Amino acid sequence: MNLLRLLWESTSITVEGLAALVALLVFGALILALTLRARLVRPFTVRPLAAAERVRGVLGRAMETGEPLHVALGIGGLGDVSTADTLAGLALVSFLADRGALAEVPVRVRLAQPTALVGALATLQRGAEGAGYPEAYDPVQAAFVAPVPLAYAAGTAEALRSEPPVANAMVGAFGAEVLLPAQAGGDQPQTVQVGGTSDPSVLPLLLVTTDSLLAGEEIYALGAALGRADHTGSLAAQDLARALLVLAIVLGAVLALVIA
Amino acid sequence: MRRILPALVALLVGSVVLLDYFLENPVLNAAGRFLLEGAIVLAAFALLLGLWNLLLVHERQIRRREPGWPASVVILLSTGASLALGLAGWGSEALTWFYRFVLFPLEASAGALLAFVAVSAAARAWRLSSLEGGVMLAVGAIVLVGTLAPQGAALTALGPLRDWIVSVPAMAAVRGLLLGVALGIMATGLRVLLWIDRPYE
Repeated sequence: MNLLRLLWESTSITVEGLAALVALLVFGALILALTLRARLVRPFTVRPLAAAERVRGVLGRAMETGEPLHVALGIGGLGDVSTADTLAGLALVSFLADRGALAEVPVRVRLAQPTALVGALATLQRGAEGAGYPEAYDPVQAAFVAPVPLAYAAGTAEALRSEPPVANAMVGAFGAEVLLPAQAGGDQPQTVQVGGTSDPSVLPLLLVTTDSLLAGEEIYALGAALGRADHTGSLAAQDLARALLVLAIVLGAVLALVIA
Repeated sequence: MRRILPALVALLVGSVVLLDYFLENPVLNAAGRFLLEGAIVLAAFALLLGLWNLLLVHERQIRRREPGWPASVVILLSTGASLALGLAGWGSEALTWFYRFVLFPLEASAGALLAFVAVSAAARAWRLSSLEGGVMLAVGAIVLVGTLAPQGAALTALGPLRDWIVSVPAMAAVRGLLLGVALGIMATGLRVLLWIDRPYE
């Protein structure tokens, strides 16, 4: 008890920190409640994402032709600032690994950070095991290309030229170097290209080089759009939080005008 | 146990690091620092896995004579060479030479290519004549000319228009995007902490 009291007495927090912590806890509670609702009652309806529909649509063609599906996870890793983007890309890898193992469609993943490689290998293995075909997992399905962005982009572009995939999805953290694989994929007439990132400065580059774009926060909705019922709960919580924030911004602007 | 133990470790580590960010407490701060340093060490081990994966992927490509296998030979040779130079000593003359005369020029060349690829992508968007592509190109041209036009030229009249585009519609769109991205990042992190997502399994 004394130790706990000592810990409590030696702890301090700023007013801004306390407000942020409370907001985070409320948001967490909202996510938990809505996820439980989505699991136990009914998943929330998700607006169809064109990119997710394209990936679904191209799976049938991949099954017929046996051509691979390719995912470029970008230059981010797990445990760094781009973790959320990498996890969004891994949600797509998870979907493709599961369907790919069932339909004997090869799935290739190329990435630039070893921590993302660990996540990709685990996701591919879990997908193959979940589909009931553990032998479909191959440790070279995920390839660590290079840790330097431009080298990664050049290596991925070369791979897309030598083994053209039926679909090339570039979902994760990217910089301007994304143009190299996007151009290489765009040069293949049969390749459907999907792109998604959270960096606003990269979105125009993906807009002009891909067939479908996941703009900004849409990449975090990819799991829900691809059928993860438990992700629809957190998506509903995000929508609610965004509505409250927008309301607060509008009210703040009106109040500022009135006071002025 | 195989499912619960990693989830418990993730919950504990995530909570400590999160609380360390908000609270000022010597014990919590020391624990948070220790865990972050541990993550850096683990990431270094992941680099070894990356190297092993690189060798596996390219060895198979060469063995099976798959398309592009000569590039795999170059990659393996250059990986071996840079590894040998690095092991010979950090900051050695040979390593400095390798960085200065091989790696940096190669990166600069690849970086320079991006400008041409960007123009080619813009031309493709123009050819596709989609509404978004057309608007984007027109706005891009105004911003580019408004920024680069020399003083006194007739095109400097585009300067105020360029400033308005950058500070009003572009800024509003970026702020809207970033608001959604911030919520998405928070939701992704909280899903891991709350055991909804278990990427570590």
